[in-house]
Parts: sequence; C-alpha cells; structure tokens
Amino acid sequence: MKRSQPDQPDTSQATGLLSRCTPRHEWNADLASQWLQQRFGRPWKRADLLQALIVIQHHFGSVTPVAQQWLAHHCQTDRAEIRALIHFYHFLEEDDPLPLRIRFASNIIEQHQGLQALLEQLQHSVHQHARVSKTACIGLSDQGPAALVNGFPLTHLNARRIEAIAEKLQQQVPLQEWPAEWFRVEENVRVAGPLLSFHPDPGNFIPNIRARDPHAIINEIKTAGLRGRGGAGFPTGVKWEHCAATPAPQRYVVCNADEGEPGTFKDRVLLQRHADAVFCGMALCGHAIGARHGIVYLRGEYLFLFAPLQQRLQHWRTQQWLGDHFDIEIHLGAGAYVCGEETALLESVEGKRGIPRVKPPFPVQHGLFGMPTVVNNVETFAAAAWIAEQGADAFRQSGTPQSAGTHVHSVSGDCAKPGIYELPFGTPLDQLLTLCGATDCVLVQVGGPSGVMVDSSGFQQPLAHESMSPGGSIMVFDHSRAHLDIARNFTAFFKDESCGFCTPCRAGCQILQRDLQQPSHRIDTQALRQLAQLVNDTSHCGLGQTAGRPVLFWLDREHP
Amino acid sequence: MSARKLKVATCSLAGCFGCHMSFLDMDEQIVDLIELIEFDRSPLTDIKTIGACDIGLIEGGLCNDENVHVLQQFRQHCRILVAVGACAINGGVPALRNRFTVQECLEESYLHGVGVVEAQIPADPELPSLLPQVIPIQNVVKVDFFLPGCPPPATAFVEIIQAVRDNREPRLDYPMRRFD
Amino acid sequence: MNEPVFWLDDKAIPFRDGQTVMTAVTAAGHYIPHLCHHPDLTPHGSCRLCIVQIDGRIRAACTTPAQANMKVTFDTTLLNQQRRQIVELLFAEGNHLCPSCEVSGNCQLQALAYDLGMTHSEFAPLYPQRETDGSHPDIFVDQDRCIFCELCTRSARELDQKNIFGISGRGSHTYLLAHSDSGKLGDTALTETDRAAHICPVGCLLPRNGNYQIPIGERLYDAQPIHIRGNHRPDDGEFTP
Ligand SMILES: Cc1cc2nc3c(=O)[nH]c(=O)nc-3n(C[C@H](O)[C@H](O)[C@H](O)COP(=O)(O)O)c2cc1C
Ligand code: SF4
Ligand code: SF4
Ligand code: SF4
Ligand code: SF4
Repeated sequence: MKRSQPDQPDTSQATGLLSRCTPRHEWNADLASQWLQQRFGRPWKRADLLQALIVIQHHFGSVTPVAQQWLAHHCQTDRAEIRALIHFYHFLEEDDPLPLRIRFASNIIEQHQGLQALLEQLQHSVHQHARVSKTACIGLSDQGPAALVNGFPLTHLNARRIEAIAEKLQQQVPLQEWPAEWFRVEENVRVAGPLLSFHPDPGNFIPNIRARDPHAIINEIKTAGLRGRGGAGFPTGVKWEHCAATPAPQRYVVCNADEGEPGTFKDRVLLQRHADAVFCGMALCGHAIGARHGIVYLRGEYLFLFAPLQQRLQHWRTQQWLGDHFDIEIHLGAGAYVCGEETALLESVEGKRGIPRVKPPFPVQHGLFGMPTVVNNVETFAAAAWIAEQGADAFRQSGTPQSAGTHVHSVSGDCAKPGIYELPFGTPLDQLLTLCGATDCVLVQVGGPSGVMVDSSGFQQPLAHESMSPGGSIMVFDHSRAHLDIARNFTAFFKDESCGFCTPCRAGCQILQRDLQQPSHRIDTQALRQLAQLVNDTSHCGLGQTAGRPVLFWLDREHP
Repeated sequence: MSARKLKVATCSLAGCFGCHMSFLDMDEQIVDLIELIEFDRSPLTDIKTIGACDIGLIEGGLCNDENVHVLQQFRQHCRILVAVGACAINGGVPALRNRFTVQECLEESYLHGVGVVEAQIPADPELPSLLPQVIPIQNVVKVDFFLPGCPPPATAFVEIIQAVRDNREPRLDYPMRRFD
Repeated sequence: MNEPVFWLDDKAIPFRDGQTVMTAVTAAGHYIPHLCHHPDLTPHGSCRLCIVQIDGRIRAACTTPAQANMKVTFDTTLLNQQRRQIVELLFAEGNHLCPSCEVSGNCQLQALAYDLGMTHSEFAPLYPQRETDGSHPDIFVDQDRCIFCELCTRSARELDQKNIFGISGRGSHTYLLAHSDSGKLGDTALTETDRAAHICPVGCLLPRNGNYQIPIGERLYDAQPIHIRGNHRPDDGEFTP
C-alpha cells in the first residue's frame, strides 16, 4: 500500500495540508508537529485545539489515545477535555482502525435519490477497507447522491460508480490517486442576477473603501435595506452599527459559512466562484466597525474549498489587500449543524464544543473572546460588497420595500433543473418552480427543515422576509413522495444535530424521532403535536425552536 | 349514587405483589370499601378469567408475552384501567435489566450466576418468552389513571375507587403523590 | 421609593440592576420551579423549568434580565403543563427508578414532579445505556440519573476553583465527564469537602456515606413541596428535618 512519506510532509497539491489523501495510520508526533506548524504558521494554543484535532484526524484517520495525550500535554489540559471535543463533533473519531471513512449525505433529497441502496452496496463490498455511514446534508443536493470520503465529496453516485469506488478501496489505491472527475463539484448556476455576476477587483475595492468614512459605509448598508441572508433576516447595517458602537479594544468580523441547513448550497457556490466578493464584504465590514480580524467559519463538509480559499487569501496578502489593517483566517467545522447558530459558532471558533450561548448579550456586544463581533452569512457579505460598489439605490431597485435586493436560492429535489437561482426578493414561489422545471410539484420545503412546508395553496406567495422567509433552500417534492417520510427524515436530522444542552430539544427530539418511526396508524397524533409544540416553545436556541416544525406541518396537512 | 357494587379486577404482571399488599393494608377502611366493590379476577379471589369490570388494577410492568396477553384481556374487559405502582408506570425495579440483553440476563441467571446448580437455560415452550425490555403498560394499552408509588399508599387506592364511583377525576393530594 | 418593579402575573416584583427575573422573584419570596439554577452560580438556562412568558415569547427566568414594568406571565395552565412535561421528558430520558434510588425523597427532580402534579411520564422511557463510575473514594457516579444541569461543573469551577466535571457528547449521547486523563472521577482533584460534591440535585453524584439515614416521612420533600422547601439537599447545610 502506498503511503505518504512519514518524515517529510509533501506540500504538493496531492498530499498537502488537509488535501485529498488517505490518512496514514501510525501516530507520529514529529509529523503531527509539522502538519500543525503548516496549519498555523505560529505557536498554537488551547483555543486552536479544535483546528488541531481536525488536522490530526485528517492525516492520521482518527485521534487515538496517544495523540490525545500528546495534544493534552501541548495544551496543558487533560485527555477528557480532548475527548469532550471529539465526542461532540461528528467528524472526529477516537479510534478508527480502517484507513478511510465514507459518509453518505442523508438529507431527504438523497434518500429519495436512492441513497440507502448505494450505501448498502458499498458497505457489503468494502467493510474491511472503509467504514461506511451517513451524515447530514453535505450541500450537494443538486448533484447527489453524494458522499464524503475523508472529507472530500464524491458526487453523482450511482451503482456503477460505487462499484468502481469499491474496487479502488479493495485495491487500497490512495485517495489522492482516485480519478479527479469523481470529485468534481458543479456550480449549476441556472439564473444569475447582479450578485452572481459580481466580480469586484480587490485592487480597487480595498483602497476605495479604506478611504471612506466608516459611518458612511454603515449608513449606506442601512439605506440599502440589506437584511441577513442566513435565515433570520436581521438588518445588517443595524448589526454593524451596534457592534461599532460597543467600546472595546478589538472587534471581530465572522463569516458564517457553516451552511448546515439541509438543501442549502448557495454559500458553497458563492465561495467557489465569488470568494473575492465575500472577502471584500468582510474587509468592508472590518473597516466599518473597526475590526482587524476576520474569520471564515467553513463547514467541515466544504473541506475541498479550504485549500483554494487559503491560496486566494495568500494572494490577497501578497497584494496587500490583507495585512496589518485587516486579515482573514479560515476555521473549519467538523460536522455540527448547531455551529451555524452564531453563538455556537463563536464557541467553536474558540475551540470548544458548539453550545449556543445565552442571549443577551448578543455577539455585537460580547462575541468572540468576549469582544464585539459581527456574524454574517456568506451571501450577506457578498451583497454588502455589491452595495459598497454599486450603491444603495441600485440595490433597492430589485426586491420589495421590506426585502431589498436579490436572493440566491438553492433548488433541489423533484425538478428538471436543480441548482442555483438568483431572483429578486418578492418573486412568487411558483415562478421559481416554473424556472426549475418542477412540473409535478406537490410540496415545497422553503428554508430547509427549520423553515416551512408549502403546498399548492401557498405557491403564489412571494419569496420574501415579509411572507415566508426563504433562507436559501428550496426542496421540491412530487406526488410520489410521502409527507410522513419527509417529516421523519427532518426530525431525525434535528435529533442527530441537537447539541444536548437543553431538556426540551435534547430529550424531546429523541422522543419525537422515535414515536414518528412507528407505523402511521399507531402514532398518537395529539401527543405528538403537543410535544412538537413544547420543543418549539421552550428550547434554548433556534435549533430546538424549529425542531418541532416538520412534525407540525405533517400533522397540519394530514391530521388537521 | 347507585347501589350496584363496582366490579374490580386486579393482577400482578412484572411486579412483586407489594402493591397488592398495600391495597389490603387499609385497616378499618376496608369495611367501607367492601360495601363499594366486589372482586372479579384477582389473586385475591383466585378467579382465573376476567369478566366485564368497572376497574382493572394492574400491578407491574410488562416483561414477557404472557404479561402482554393478560394486560390486553384486562383492557378489553375493564371500563377503567389503572396503572398501579412504579413497575406498571415506568418498569420499576425489574427495568434495571434493560441495560442487558435478554440473552445476557438468562446466562447470568441460569448459567454463570452465584449458586447456580445444573446450569441450563430453561427452554420449555410452555414458559412465556421474555420481551427485549421491561416496559410500562401504557406502552401497549391506553391507561386511564395512574397510581404512583412503590407501593402506592392504601389511601390512594381508596381515592381511585371513590373517584370512579363518583365519576370524577381522582385527586392525589401531595402525600399520595410519591414514587417510592 | 422609586425602586423599579416588574410584574409577575399580578405581583409587583422590585429589582436591582443586574438581577434576573429569577433572582428578583426569589428575593421577593416567591418560587419559580428550577433545577439548573443556583444562587451562587452563573445562570445556565438548560433545564428550561423556569419558563415564563414575556411579550408572548417563552423565556427562561434564570437568564432573562429584569426590566422595569416588564410583564412576566408565570402561573398559567399551559405553562404549568409545559413545566410538567419538561420534568416528564427528564424522567423518560434517563433511568429514574425512584424505588431503588438513594436520594428518593430528597431529590429535586422528583420533588418538582410531585409539585407539578406528575403521576407518570406520558413519554415512553428511552432506557438509555449510561455509565457508572465508582473510582472515587467518597463520591459515586450513576449517570442513569444525570439531567445535565451542570451544577457540578459550574460549582467546581466557580466555587472550588477546580476543573472536575464537564459535559460531553452531543444530543442523545450527552454524558457527564470527569476531567482526568483516565476520565475517572477518582483521578480528579475532587475532595469530599468540595461544594461540587454536594450540589447534584438528583442521585447522579452520590456521597458514599450517609444514604438512607433519614427515615421515610422525614426526608426533605416527604411532607412539604419544593415550592415551600426550596431546592436543597440534606447535606447542603440548610436542611432541618
Ligand atoms: C441551528 C442554527 C443553524 C444556523 N445555521 C446557519 C448557517 O449555516 N449559516 C448562516 O449564515 N446562518 C445560520 N444560522 C443563523 C445564524 O445564527 C445567524 O443568524 C446568521 O449567521 C447571521 O447572519 P445574517 O444576519 O447575515 O443572516 C443558524 C441559526 C441556527 C439557530
Ligand atoms: S435547542 Fe437544541 S441545539 Fe439549541 S441549545 Fe437546546 S439542545 Fe442545544
Ligand atoms: S411498584 Fe413497588 S410494590 Fe408495586 S410491584 Fe413494583 S416493586 Fe412491588
Ligand atoms: S434521581 Fe430523583 S427522580 Fe431520579 S431516580 Fe433518583 S429519586 Fe427518582
Ligand atoms: S451530575 Fe448532577 S449536578 Fe452534574 S450535571 Fe448531572 S445532574 Fe447535574
């Protein structure tokens, strides 16, 4: 079996840091030090522990007890603390004797695409070579069924491809030598509006904004009426203003690229082809609020974007678009939907388990390491950069008075043309359905499992904050799909992703999930409704506060 | 108030008869109670089949398929079914076995346990087979009232019977609400 | 006499700046059900028993700052039912076999169940598989009963200045962890005299000595409900039989 050389990490693309490779298995402290040196480029400490674990996991296949001891020693902590992290993040493992781990995306879209059969096919043929399991949506619903192998996405899976993959596994071909085309991630941009046509030149953009008055920038964002694209729709200018107004020695700009809401993949596409726009937006925010540090929290599922984004940032640095005035780091997630919640995300960036904090105080007052912090979605930053370049008036020309501008939708499911659609806010849902070729559409899930389920009675509604908050995910279901199966899939998702902090969500989701598995005639619909409502009403964070929704939408439709 | 006595059936499933003992442990109140009720199937009467009843008192949870069968019979014949005691309500002490598989339990009891002689796992088809876990009775049938306690105090039994007679919800005051 | 007040149903509750709804209500002599709140510790907001309604939204009283003239709805049929259901969820989620539990009668979870009128959990038990840890000479750990309130983790850190307990895992795999390389409590610096050794509201962290010494009938919550007795343990120095 071919393996990377133990003592000299090869920095070429094939086996570079966090690149697509088969992990080596024997622990080697010197090699680990070298990888971590490459990752951080500076001495690293307790707050970097999660990032360190991700590197170790990736290159050694798991974080074994010896590795834990070594890390504990380095961070002057105990192994229990390290295990606490490993056991929180789905992608970290304590001990995995097999060289590779393959995780199939198991969102309802992939379930409908036949994920189970493919998974079993692979499991049967490679159980001595790879561990095969499921994971939540990996942001590839438009090109599924898909899976991650040591973090890298395999798209367009079918029985033949699985057979070929099994062969590679049986022959122990290193991952870096698998055909590149298996890993091709398509952009599938179907309708590009202003944002998806936006390619700012940082060489102009950065000096321009640095010459501008920070207050004027905030006012322009406010005038434009930009609202957060991460789901909640909070006015971005107001958020920046609050952050700028909180006295503090330093501030942070955080880009939320966790994109965990099943069926959402627009942020992936923005990072694939508009990274400069996103970075420009972050730099803009940094200048507006007086922050010198920017962080992109990139979900572990998008590991394949890590190296290109790092390279791009490096280019920015050599051009001095980044530097002492403002710099950007990438932090990786490791399989935790809850880390998209802004305060859980901050905990994760601090190297802890992603448990949502108590609000207030809000991040703009007390954020990363206690400092005022702006957390915005990827698309929000790109749109902010667009506004800085084209002006608030131009921005307001599309959309509605309460929801200005355009929104990028990720469309998947039973339609001819799944992919990315950028449309003005206020576009009726059925217009989007026509565009994507959803000819036999019965149900549409808008905004992912935490959003709303719409049937034909709601297809005329506009996609805008004032009607149904679009979030970014549109999943289309035709007449062959059972609403109960959808509710089961989404409820299982929430159960798997509950962080476990608060009672209603931790215990309630387990019971919802279990009771929903029963044959439909045995389900006590009244009890289920009450429990779903309890979870929504009384949970600590947004995850639990929407976790009962899939059950309630199913009950409302089929057991009113 | 009708003069007809309430028909009461009782049984012990995966329980210890402690609840039954508590039921009888009501001193002179039993004289009044006898005016109110008559027993149908019950370990107290030795009647083996159940007829139409007003109240079924179930002690113990479900640990084998025979328990399930008896419980279903009770549900069919009783107007009001009462889960009596911790075991019926959440499995109680017998549910301590739920962290083990049935096979592990059998091996420990009949093969490897302390003091086992003639080690052999019983396999007589006449014997009821064990459920994978000990479960509460409300997992399987609808239960009308719950009498917590291990065992519930005698006064709680009286309250349930009076409530059924008066066609009202039972009132379990603080001292009657106890889980041990 | 310009002390600010907020309203708990129809009662005016005076408060000082920095107080939460919970601390102000407690200081005013009223009781809001809770398990993870402790007056000496940073608020946590995880058990969700202290839910109240403010501006139509349900919030945790223990983490909500008091504000002048705020209307806090507390005693409604729905909220009481939801509090009871949260207790029922805790029962269903762990293995709470009270008849065989050392702290029965002195347990705050059980006492809240009594007080909220719970006779049974309407949710079928999940019977999880959880660990025990007998490695410490004075304190036994039985995770079947852990409710993840983190009173132990917070009291160790904030009152004893030690890092002894933590919570790990996620969701249905959440578990209590001891901060040592072995993960065993016996290998931590916990001592019998630590506050953390005497703060668990349920029977998860058990002192090895002194169990079953209070006769039935005289235990903390045998005669008086928790809304009168308050959240206590027999060994927290405030117990009088
Ligand atoms: C469980 C949960 C998951 C979330 N996931 C994301 C996410 O993946 N990406 C995102 O931008 N916002 C996510 N959010 C919303 C964030 O908390 C936050 O509101 C958002 O990042 C703010 O950015 P915006 O104002 O630009 O939308 C999530 C919220 C919750 C409760
Ligand atoms: S609602 Fe769920 S995800 Fe959010 S804090 Fe509670 S347990 Fe964690
Ligand atoms: S509840 Fe207690 S007394 Fe009743 S059967 Fe069970 S163990 Fe025996
Ligand atoms: S911890 Fe409390 S509720 Fe749980 S078994 Fe013990 S006494 Fe009962
Ligand atoms: S051990 Fe006790 S104090 Fe600690 S989290 Fe569990 S229930 Fe709370």
